[in-house]
Amino acid sequence: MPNPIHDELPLTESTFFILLALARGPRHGYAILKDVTDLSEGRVSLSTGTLYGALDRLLKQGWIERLETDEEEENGRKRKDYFLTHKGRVILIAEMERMNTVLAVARHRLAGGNA
Amino acid sequence: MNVENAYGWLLQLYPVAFRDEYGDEMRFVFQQVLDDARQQGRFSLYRTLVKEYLSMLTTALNQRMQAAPESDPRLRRARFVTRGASLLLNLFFGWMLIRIMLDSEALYPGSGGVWAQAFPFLFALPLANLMMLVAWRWERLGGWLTIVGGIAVTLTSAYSLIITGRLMNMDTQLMIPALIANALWLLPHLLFGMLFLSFDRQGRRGTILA
Repeated sequence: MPNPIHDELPLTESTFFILLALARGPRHGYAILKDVTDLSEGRVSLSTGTLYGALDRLLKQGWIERLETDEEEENGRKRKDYFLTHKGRVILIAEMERMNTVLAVARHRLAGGNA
Repeated sequence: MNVENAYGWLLQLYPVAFRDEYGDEMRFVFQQVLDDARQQGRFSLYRTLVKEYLSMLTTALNQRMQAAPESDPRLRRARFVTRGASLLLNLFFGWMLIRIMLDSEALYPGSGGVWAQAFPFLFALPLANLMMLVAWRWERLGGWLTIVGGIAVTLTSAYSLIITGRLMNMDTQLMIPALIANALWLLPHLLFGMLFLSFDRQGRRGTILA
């Protein structure tokens, strides 16, 4: 039976790191940007435009949600945080399992196995 | 205009709905990214600015594609290809102009060369090319301005050719083919201008029919 979650995989590297950045709790835009750079050890460095394009897509897919916090930005507007939804977390875990499977097969083959 | 204001102004490249939703946040994040880059030195600042502005062009184009009201995917694809091609042409002409300016000492102001004769052309070419980018946002206006810009480029180039030809006592038999070849300047501008006008017309028809 086809699994709709697997149709969404594999994730792009930037999508994966954005979801991973939100896995520990809500973050605002700049914190996500920094987290993605740190988590990827500098390999993925998103620009502001790319980040918000991705956030917009993830919001529409229902993988993340946005909430207004009580904290204010410098311009006086309420700061907005993004957080992972249940669906987003399921997708993230599915992607990690997919990567694990790929890694297991590769390790097995390199170790001389036939699988 | 400082870089932050320029960024805020360039946010207009995005569709209105996207800008209303994320514009303020993007400006705020851009400000923080710039503050970080400034602390790391001038090189880091320039690199960040180039990255942010270039990415702005591509992501704005992408968002516009997604927000395009027309239902015909062929029109959407044609727009995307044309805009991409116009951007490449702009980059090529920009690179060519810089090379011409750097390589030819005769084009330096005050060098006693042909700066004065070449100036109208050197001014008209980037302006005409910028009009192609204007057409991304306002297709009809940008389309017409691209065509008018192309005519201006062709005329100013012909003017430069004739004047410098006279100064160098160029043979008339050589001048005529050179002027004919010069008319080729009009082609890309005419082509892109007409494409943008056509997209505008088709887009309107689609909106009316929808």
